[in-house]
Amino acid sequence: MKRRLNLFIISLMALLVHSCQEEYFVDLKDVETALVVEGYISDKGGIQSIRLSYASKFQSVESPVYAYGANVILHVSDGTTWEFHPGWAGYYNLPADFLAEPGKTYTLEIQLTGFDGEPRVYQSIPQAMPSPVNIDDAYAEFSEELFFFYSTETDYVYQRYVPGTNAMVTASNTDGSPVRFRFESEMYLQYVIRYDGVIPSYDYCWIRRDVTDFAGSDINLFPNQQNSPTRIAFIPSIPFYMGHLGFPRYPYDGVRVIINRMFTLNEQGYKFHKDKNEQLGDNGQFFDPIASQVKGNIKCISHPDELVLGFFEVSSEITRPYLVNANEYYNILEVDLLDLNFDLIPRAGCKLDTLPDFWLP
Amino acid sequence: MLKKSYLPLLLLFSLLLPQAVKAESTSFSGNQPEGLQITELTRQLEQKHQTRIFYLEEWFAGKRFDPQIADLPLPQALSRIIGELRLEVMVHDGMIFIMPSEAPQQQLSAPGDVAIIGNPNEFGRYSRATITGKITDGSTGEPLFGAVLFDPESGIGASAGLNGRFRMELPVGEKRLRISYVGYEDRIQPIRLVSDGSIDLELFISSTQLQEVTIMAKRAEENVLRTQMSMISLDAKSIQELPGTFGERDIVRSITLLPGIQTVGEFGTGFNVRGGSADQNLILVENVPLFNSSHLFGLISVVNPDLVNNVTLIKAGTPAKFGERASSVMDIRLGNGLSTETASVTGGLGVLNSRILLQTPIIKEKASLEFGARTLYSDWFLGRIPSKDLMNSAAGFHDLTGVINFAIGTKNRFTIFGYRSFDRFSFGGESDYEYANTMASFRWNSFFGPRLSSTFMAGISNYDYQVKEVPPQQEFRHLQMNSDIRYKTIKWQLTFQPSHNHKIETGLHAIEYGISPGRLVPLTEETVIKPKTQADERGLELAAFFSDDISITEKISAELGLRYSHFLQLGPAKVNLYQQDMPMTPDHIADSVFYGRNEVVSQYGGLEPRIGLRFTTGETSSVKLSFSRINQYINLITNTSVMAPTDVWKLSDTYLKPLKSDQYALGYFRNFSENRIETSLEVYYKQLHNVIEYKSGAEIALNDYLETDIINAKGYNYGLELYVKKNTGRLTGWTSYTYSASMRRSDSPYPENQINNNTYFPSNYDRPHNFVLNTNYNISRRWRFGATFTYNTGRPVTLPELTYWQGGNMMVQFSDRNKYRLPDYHRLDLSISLGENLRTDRRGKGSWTFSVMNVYGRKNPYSVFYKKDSGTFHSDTSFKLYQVYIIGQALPTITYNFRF
Repeated sequence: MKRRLNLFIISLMALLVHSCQEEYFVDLKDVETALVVEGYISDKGGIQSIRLSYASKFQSVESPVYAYGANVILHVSDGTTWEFHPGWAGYYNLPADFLAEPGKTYTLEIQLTGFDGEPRVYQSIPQAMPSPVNIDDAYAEFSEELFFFYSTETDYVYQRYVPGTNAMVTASNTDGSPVRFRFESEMYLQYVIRYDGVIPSYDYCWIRRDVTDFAGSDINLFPNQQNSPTRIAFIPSIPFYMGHLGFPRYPYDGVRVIINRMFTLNEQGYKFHKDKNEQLGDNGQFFDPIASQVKGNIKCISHPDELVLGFFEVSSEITRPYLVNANEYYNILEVDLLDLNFDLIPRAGCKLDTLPDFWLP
Repeated sequence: MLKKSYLPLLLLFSLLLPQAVKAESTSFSGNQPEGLQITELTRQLEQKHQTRIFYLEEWFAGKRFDPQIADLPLPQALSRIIGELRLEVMVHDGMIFIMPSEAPQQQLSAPGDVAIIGNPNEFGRYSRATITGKITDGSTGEPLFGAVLFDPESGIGASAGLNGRFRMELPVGEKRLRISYVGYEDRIQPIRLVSDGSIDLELFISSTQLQEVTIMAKRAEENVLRTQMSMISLDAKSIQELPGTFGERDIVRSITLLPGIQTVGEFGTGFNVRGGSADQNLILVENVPLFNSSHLFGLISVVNPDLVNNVTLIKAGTPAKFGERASSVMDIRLGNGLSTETASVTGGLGVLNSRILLQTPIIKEKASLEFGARTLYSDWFLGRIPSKDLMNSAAGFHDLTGVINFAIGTKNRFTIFGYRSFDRFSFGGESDYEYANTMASFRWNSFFGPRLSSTFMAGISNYDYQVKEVPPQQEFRHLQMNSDIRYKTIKWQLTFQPSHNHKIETGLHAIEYGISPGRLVPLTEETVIKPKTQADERGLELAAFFSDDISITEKISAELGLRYSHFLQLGPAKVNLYQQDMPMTPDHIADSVFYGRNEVVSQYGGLEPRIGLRFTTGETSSVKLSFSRINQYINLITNTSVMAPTDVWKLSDTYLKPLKSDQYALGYFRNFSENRIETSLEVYYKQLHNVIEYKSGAEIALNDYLETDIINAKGYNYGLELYVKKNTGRLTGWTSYTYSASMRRSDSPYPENQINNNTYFPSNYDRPHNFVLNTNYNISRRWRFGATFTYNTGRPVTLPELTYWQGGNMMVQFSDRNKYRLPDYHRLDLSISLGENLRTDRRGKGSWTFSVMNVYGRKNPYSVFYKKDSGTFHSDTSFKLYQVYIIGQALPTITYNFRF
C-alpha cells in the first residue's frame, strides 16, 4: 500500500513538473506568399547579381520557388540605368562592365507578373553607396568559443568550449561618421605532408573554408565608436577541433591566412543585418518572447499593401588577408597581399613536390 | 426497539432538504387552529417510522401543523416541521434530534431572523443574561472602537472597546438591539436572549441614512449602497469557500475567477485587471507591496491563505489614499488582531506542500501573535521520478508570515508584520533559479475620539532573484545573474468622521525606490564571461491625498478625492543623449550626461482626481459612476506575454515616461430575493498613455541601452462585466461573463519604433470573452461539493508565417504583432470536502479535500514558440512550432487540514 501511494504521488509530481510540449500547427491558409529579394551590389567589380524567389509558408516542406521572367533594372543617381540579365535559379546578373562607385545612389526596380496574373512593380528605397572604412589595426586576443561536435561512433552531438585566437581589427572613417560594416572571413590553410622514403617526398596542400562557424560573418557592434575592435575570425588553437569543418586533422602545422571581405554599409543596410543577426540568434523560448522581425527596403509600388521581403544592399568592399603565425596562436600578423590573388587559389588541393605559385613562405 | 436503519437518513435529509424547504413555502400550514400540535405530529411520526424524535416544545409554541405531514416520507415530514425555524435535524443511533441550528454566530441571515443567544435548553432558567461579542467593519474586519449597542426596550446600552469587543447584561427575552457607529449604517438586530452567550456583529460604511426596514437588510446590500464600485471584498469566511488550487485556498488565483480579472494560464506570475499588465496591480500585504505574488512561477500564490483576514480588490474608482499602480489595488489584511482568545494550531498536509498556523494571545485582549509557515517538499519526489533531467531537478519554496498586534491603553493600537518567501527551481542540474520576497511593516492606529483617528505606517518590501548557470564539468561557463528591488515607504493618514454619513481622509505618502537592474558575476576563476554590473536606479515618489465621502441627499452619495503624486529620478545616473530627428538607437547616441548622487535626473508629477458617485434607484438597486486617474512610476520590463520572476523592474526616467491611466466606469447594482442574490452590470473605458511596448526582438537583461528597445505607446481598454452571486443557502457561488478589449498603438514617425505601422493592435491581455461558473453545494453539514468552470478567449500571439532565404540563412517572417490567438482556454475543476467533526468535545479536528483539476484533461496551450534546428549535422535548417501546456491531464490532489 505504501508503495502504491508512493507511486501515486510521484506520478502526480511528474504530471505537474513535466509540463508537456507538442508540435503546434497554425492555420496559414489566408497567408499569401511574398517576393523575396536578395540583392548585393558592391564596388568590387565582376559579376553582380541579385536573386528573386518566393517565401514559403511556415512549416511548409516545399522547396524554394524562384521568380523567373522579371525585368530587373538598376537606376543610378548619375542618370544611367542598367538591365539585369536572367540567369539560373532566380538569379539576375548585371553586365560585366558594370562597376558601382561610392557616393552614388542606386535604386533597384523589378517588374514581375504576380501569381494572380497582374503586373507588379517593385522598387527599393534608394541606396547610397558609402565610402569604405579605414582598417587601422589588427591584433590577436585569446578567447574561447563554444563548438559542437558530432561523434559518429555514438551518433551523439555534444558541445564544448575550445580555446583559440580572436583576430581583431579596428576601423574608422576619416570624416568621423559612424563606422558600419559587415564582413565575411574565410580561412586558408597551407600545409606540407612529408613522406619518408629512400627519397623523401612532400605534398604541398591547401584548403579553404568559410569560418562562419566560429564568428566569421557578422557586423561591427559599435558603429558610433571609431576604432572600436571587431572580431573578424576565431582560430581554434587545437587542430583536431577543426576536423569537422573540413580542415585536415593531421598534420596541421602550416600557414593560416584569414581572408577578410569587409562591406561598408549605409545605415539601412547596417540595421537590416543587425536585425537579421538578432533573429538568427533567437531560438524561441518557453515564456513566449517578442520575436525579432526583419524589415527590408523593397516596396511594391503597384500594390502598396503587398509584403515584400529581403534587402537590396549597396556596399563598398575591401578584401584584406591576415597571416596567422602557425607557431604562436596568440599572435596575428597582418600581411600585405603581395602579388597573390587570393581569389584564384583553388578551394583545396595538393601538389606533389611542387610549390604552388601562391605558396607563402 | 429502535432501528438503526435511519442512519443513512442523514445524507438523505441533506439531499432532499432544499427541495423540501422550497415546497414548504407554498404548502406549510403552520398556525392553523385546526392543525396538529407538535407533540401529536411527532407521536404519529414516531409510531409510523419506529423512531424517537427529541425536541423542546417551546420551539414550536403556538404552531399547528398540517395533519398530512404525518403521511409524508420522514425526511420531508421533518423538513416541513422545522420549516423556517432556525432548527436542524440530526440522526444519531437511530434517534432523531431536532435542535437549534449551529449557524455561524454572525447573524447575517435573511430579514426577520432572530439570533438566539445562549443555550435554548436553558430557556426560562434565567431572568437576566450577559451578551458578549465583537463589532467589526464588515468590509475590512477591523474592530469598531466606540460602536454602540442599545436596547430601546430596557434603555440599556454598551459601547465596544478598542478591540471591538463589548459586554452587556439584559433581561432575557425577545429584543431588538440597535447597533450604531459614526459613518456606518445603523443596524437593528432582533435577538432572543436565553442565557449568557455571544454574538459578533458587523457594520458597513454607508453614506445614506436609510429607513429602518432597509437598515435591517444588512451586509448583502453593501454592494448596492456603498459609493465604491468595481470592488471585490472577501472576508475570512468567504476565503474559506474559495475554490482551491492543488487542494489549497489561493487568494490570488481565486481572484482571477472574478469578472474583469484574468491570468495568462496555469503558469505565470500575477494577474491582469481590465486589460492591464500584471505590474499595474498594487498588491498590498499589510500595507506594503508585494512584487512577486507567486510561488513556483505562478502555480501557487505566496500569500498564506490561513492568515488572511480579508481581501479587498478595487478595479475602478480607486480611493485617493491609493496610487502607485494603474490597474487595481488588492489590499490584503492578515490576522485576527486582538480577538485571538485562545492558542490554536491549524495546518494542512497536501500532495505538494504543507502549512501550519499558530495563533495565540500574548496578553489577553492586549497582545496577540499569529505565525504561519508553508513549505514545498518536491525535491524528494523529483528524485524518484525515472527521468534523468527530473532526478537532477529541484523545486521548492517556503514562506513565513508573522503578525503581532498589541494595544497600549485604549487609544493606541499597533501591528507589526513580517514576511519572507523563498523559491528555488533548478532543472537538470544546469541552471538554478532563486527568488525571494521580504516584507515588513509597522502600523500605529491612534484614536483621538469617536470621530478622529490617525494611522501611521512604515514598511519595506524587497524582491530579489538570481539565476545561476552551472553546467556540470564546464566551470568556465559558471555564472550568476541577479537583480533586486528595494522599496521603503512611510504613510500617514488622518480620518475624520463629522457624522455617520460623512468621512474625510487625508494624508501623506513617501516611497523610496532602489533597483539593481542586473549583475553578471563569474562563479569560478575559469569562467570566461566578464563580470558586468548595470548602474543602480533610484527614485523618490511623494504624494498627498484628500478624500471626502459624503451623502449629499438620501439617494445620492459621493466620494470625491484628489491625489498629487510627484516622482524624482535620482542620481547617480548616466543618461545617453540621442541625435535629434533620428530614431533612438544605439547608433544615434550623440553624447552622454552624468548625474551625481541625489541629483535629480528627471521628474514627473500630476494631479490624480478620483470621483465616485452613487444614485440609489430603489431599495436594493443603485447606479454608480466613477473616474480615476493614476500615475505609475515603476514598471516591470518584460518582453514576454507573461510576468516571469526574472523580469526587471524599472523606474520612470528621462525616456521612459510614467504610465498614466484614466478610467471611466458605470455600473448598475441590484440585489434580489432579499439580498440572497447580488447582481451587477459594469462597463468601463480606460485610456492609457505611455504604456510600455517593445520593439521586435527587444533585449531586456543587462541592456545598457534599454530605452532604445522600448516604445512609449498609447492604449485603451474597455469592457462589460456581468456578475451574479448567490450568497446564502446550500448552493452558493457566482457566475460572471466579461466582454473586454485591450488595444495598443505605437505613435512614432520612425519605422524602427512602429508596431504594425502605428495601427491599433490587441495587447497581450486582450481576451474578449470570459465566463466563470463557481459553485459550492453543501451536501450536508460536513460534506461539500465544489465545481469551477472557466472559459477564456485565447490570448493574442505573434506567430511565424513565412520562411525565406537571405544571404544563405533561412529567415522567418512573423505576423503582425498579436495577429493570432491561442486556442480558447477552458477548464473544469471539481472538489469534494469532508469538513471537521462537529463534536465540540474533540480537541483536534481535521478535514479532507479531494479535488481534480482539469477534469476532462483539456490541453490548454500556455505558450506557443518556435524552435530552430540549425541542421548542423543531420539535416538542413528547419523550424517547428510548439505549444506548451502545463496541466494537460486531469490532476487529482488530496489535502488534509487539521486544527487543534
